[in-house]
Parts: sequence; structure tokens; C-alpha cells
Amino acid sequence: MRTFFLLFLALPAHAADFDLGVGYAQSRDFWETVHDVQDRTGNISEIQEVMQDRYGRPDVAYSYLDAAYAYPHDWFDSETFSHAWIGTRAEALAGGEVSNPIFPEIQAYANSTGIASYGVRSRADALAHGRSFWSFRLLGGLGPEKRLYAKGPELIEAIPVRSGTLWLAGGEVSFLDQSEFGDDFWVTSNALVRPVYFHSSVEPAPSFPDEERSFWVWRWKMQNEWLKQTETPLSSRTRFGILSVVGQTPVPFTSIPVTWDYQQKTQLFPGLGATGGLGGILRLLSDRALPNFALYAGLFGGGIGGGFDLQLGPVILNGSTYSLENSLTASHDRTRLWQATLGVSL
Amino acid sequence: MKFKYGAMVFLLLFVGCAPKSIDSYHTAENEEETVRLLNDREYAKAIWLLESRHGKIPTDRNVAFLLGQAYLGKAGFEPLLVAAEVSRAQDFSSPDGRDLLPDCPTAAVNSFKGTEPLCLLKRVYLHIPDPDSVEFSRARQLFRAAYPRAEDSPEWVNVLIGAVETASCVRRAGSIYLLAKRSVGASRNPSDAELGALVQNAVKAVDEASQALQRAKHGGKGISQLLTGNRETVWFEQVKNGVEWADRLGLGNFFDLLRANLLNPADETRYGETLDKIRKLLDEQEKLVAGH
Repeated sequence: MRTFFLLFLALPAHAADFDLGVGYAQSRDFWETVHDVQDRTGNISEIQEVMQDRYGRPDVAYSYLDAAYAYPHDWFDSETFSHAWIGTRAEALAGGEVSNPIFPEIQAYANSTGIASYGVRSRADALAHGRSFWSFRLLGGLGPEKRLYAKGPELIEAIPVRSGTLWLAGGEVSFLDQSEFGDDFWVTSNALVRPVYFHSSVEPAPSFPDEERSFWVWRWKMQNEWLKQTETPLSSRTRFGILSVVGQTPVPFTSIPVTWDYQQKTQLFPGLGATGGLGGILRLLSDRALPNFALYAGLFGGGIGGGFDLQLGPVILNGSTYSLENSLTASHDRTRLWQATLGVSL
Repeated sequence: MKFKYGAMVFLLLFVGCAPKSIDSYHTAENEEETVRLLNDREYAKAIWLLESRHGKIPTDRNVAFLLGQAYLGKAGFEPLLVAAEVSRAQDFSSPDGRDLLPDCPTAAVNSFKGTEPLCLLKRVYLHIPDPDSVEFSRARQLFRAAYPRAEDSPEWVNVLIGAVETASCVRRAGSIYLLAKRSVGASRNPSDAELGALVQNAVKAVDEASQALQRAKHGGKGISQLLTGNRETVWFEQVKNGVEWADRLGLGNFFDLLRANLLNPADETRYGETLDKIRKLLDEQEKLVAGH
């Protein structure tokens, strides 16, 4: 979906029947901290040294591989949903946090999940034909999960790692539209709603028996670009303007793992500031729109973030950094994430 | 159409620039903000903000408990840090370190198995704050008010409260022991002021020991582990009977019992006057406590 989105920003029609995307993002490997603590079981001095400066510094790392194939179907007549769409995704997510030096608490998680999806969508070049792009799909997946939780004196002992399987099932509707006003103003809108039910077989920790292991999450997001086009020495088609995002984890051009919502127990509305992002964006397009380069930066979900996009033919490279809020502990601390993605649309 | 998009731009600007509900202001109006301040070890700021909230809603036990934690931090009592310091190689060169059980080993202790419990107590004594410091007293008071009954409190709450009560009691017991030892060593009777402090410490120590025992009963083995890294609960087992007797008989009568059974006639002749003063002060303290 993200690949489509970028392709359609400024491009002529491009037949996109096969999409491939890979991404990697990391703040720091928190499981290294966990292993450091576990290696020092019983040695309180060394455990204290490991944790001394780690309070309120959550870490996250994730990676994913996405592949999707679309083909015209003959189930029913519809311009909007003319194609069937099959996709697979493999993602891995790990993170954790240490909190509260007065009564320390450590928690960490790691999961790798395979997700399959099937649905319908608009033809790839819908925007080029002046129509909106819609997609709808059902998705389901599973994969191994491990969790760790310890509080107070439990930290000094061997902290048990609990293992199990994480299951998920849900649906997703997304929408992409681009409107031109006059000859020099563009508004691009990308929206997504994704309800997913998660269930994990990992037993709750003895000192955290009330932790929820099965629940629904409704993810929603709306991203807009409001661009004015003008001629500059950098490019005859320079577009600049506002980039806005509303929704949970409001960071633009980023494919947050589906299981992030499970590990973070994403709320429907976590607060006004936590669901809004605003920044500036500059796009430099060649006469034929390819290659094109974009730079953007702003305040997204209360943290400064930004990145670049470079599109060369069917390939899109992106590098970005964001300050993501973690809801593992009561303090909702932030972590700076560095991300690189590569997308190919054929 | 342009108006519609103009309105949307305005709305998005508003959303993007609006004060964040989550982390813009450290108002400490909820647990989220407070734990963040604790993580940053901004204890004074947490206290300043939480005291105001506690004043408005004194019945909110979460606020009281968090405020107590902030006071502990301000007093320099981070349990894991205390436990780490207790287990490190010790410097017993301070006056208290020299006078209190001088034969205890100073080497770092990786495993407390086999460590003499009194030597462990000495280490704890040297690394915990004064139990009568404003911050430590306030933390104890807040904890007791927030979770008055151990049997109704979560286990981890009992562990933290029990650790604080135990630390206070250990410190007082050490002070009493040092005063007695130094007085005997200098062959002098303690002054009235010293006796007053001793009795106050004794009364408070029994009260804190009683609290600690209650918390230990409902807090597993976490209390001694939190303070020393040691799961052994030998301390509690050793003081349990004494505290129960003191509670049952009253501190004055318990003191009489000990005096009659443990003191030899020569010491009775030598320290009798001082012990009589202590007995009188104990009665006064108990009346004072009963009056409260």
C-alpha cells in the first residue's frame, strides 16, 4: 500500500501488479539489556549497574518483508474493486523497557509473525484515471512470541521467559486519493482503518496476572499532503507544502508492524496530541516525474521526526527517524527509531 | 471547495500544534507523568506536584503511594541501589562502621548464603537514610495511609512498604545499640536527652518491626531480597517473637521482663537508675502514642 501511495504521488499511470517491500527499524536492542540482567542473576551490584541509566528509555526494533500480487477478477463488476489482491507479510518485532528506580519493573517482548491477506482493490493506475484507489482485505496470521516481566526483587532472580503463540485476525480498508486544484495545488489523502483481534497463548506473569492477552485493536490513520507546485532552480516541478497525519502513532510514510498494536495495546484514541502530526514536505520532480526526491520533517505525535524518499523507476528508498511513544509502562516514554525501507512495484 | 480545504488545513494545524495530552506538561496529574519524573529521578519536582494533588484528594491511594515513592527517592532510598551498595566491598572506617560489630568482613558479597545475619544488618544500617529525616518519615506515613492493611494490599506493595519499615527499624536498632555500647565503653550514664532519643527510637522500632512483620507475612520473601539481594527471612524469624511479646505486653512490661531475666545483679546495681529512667520514659511514650 505504501508503495502504491508513493508511486501515485506524482506519477503517471504505472501498472503495479506486484509489490515487494522490506523495512528495518531500530532504536537499540533491548533484549541485550535483558540478557545482561539475566547473565548477572543474583549479582545485585552488576544488575544495578546495567539498569542504572536505563530507566524510562524504551527500545524497539522491527523488520518486515511484504509481498502482494493483484489481478483482475470476474466475480462482480466494479470499477472500485476491480482486482483481487493476495498478500503475505513476515514481520518481527522486539522491544522492552525498564521503569521506576524506586520499585523497578522490567518488561520485554519479541514476536515474529507471518500474515496472509486476501481481498479486493482498485486497479493500480486508478489515480491516473482520475479515480480514488480503494482496497479491502481480510488478514490473519500467527507466530511465536516470548515475553518477560519482573518487578522489584524478582529482578534479582532468574527472570523466566514465557513463550507461546500469537494469533491475529482482522480486516483492513484503505483509501488513496489525489486532487488537483487549479494547475498548481495538490492534495493527496491516504486513509486506513484496520480492526484486528489478537490472542496470545503466553501465560501472564505471576506478578502481573491481569495483563490482557486477548483483545481488539482498531487502528486508524489519515495522512494528507497539501502541496503547491512551482518552478525553482532545483526542479521545474518543485512541490512544497504541509504534511499532516492523524491517527495512532501518527508518523508518515511508515509501515508500523501490525503486531505493534498488540504489544503496545494501542488504544482507539490515546489523546489529541498523540494522534496528530504536522510537518513540512518538499518534493523535487523531474519533468517526467521520475526520478523524484522528497524531504519531510515535522512534529509527529509530539516527537520530532523526518526523512527522505527517493524514487527511481519502480524502486523506492526511504530513510526516516521518529520519536515513538511506548505504552509498555505507565510513563509512556519515547524512543527514537531509525528506519530504512525499500519498496519495489512492478 | 477551497474554503473546505482551508478549514481542513486550519483543523490540522490546530491538531498538530495543540498541547499534547501525553507528555507536554509534567503536571503529575496522573501516574504516567509521575513515573516519568521518577524515571528521570526528578524527585523534588514530583513531590512538589504530587503534594498539591494529594492535598486536594487525600483519599486517592495511588497518588499517596506515588508521592511516598517520590519521597523515598528524595531521601536517597532506591532499593536496588541500596541492595547493590550492601553487597559491595564495604568501608567501615566511619565511627558507626568501627563501633558496630567491628569483626564483620568488609569484602564484597556475591552470595549471602552463610553470611552472618547481624553483619548483613550492619551493612544495611550503613546504607540507609535516617528514618527520622523528613522525606523518609513522610514516605512511611504515606505508605501506611495508602495501604493500611497488609492483608488487603498487593504483594508488591507489601514488599516496598515492608522494605521501608524494615530499613527504618534496622537503623533505629543500630542507633540504640551504638548508644548503649558507647555509654558502657565510656563508663558513663547516657544523658536525659540521649535516653529520650533512645526510648523514642525503641518505641518507633517496635512499631516499625510490627509493620514489617505484617508486610513480610503478605509479601513473600521479597523484603529482605529487595534490601540485600538475600531471600533468607531469618531477620523476621528472629525478631518475630520479641515483637509479638512487646505488642502483647506493652513495651514497658516487656522491658521489665527482659530486665528481670537478662540483667545480672551487678549490672542492675550499676545501671539501675538509668534503666528506671528508661522505664519511665517508655510509659510516657506509650501514653503519648495511645493518646494519638
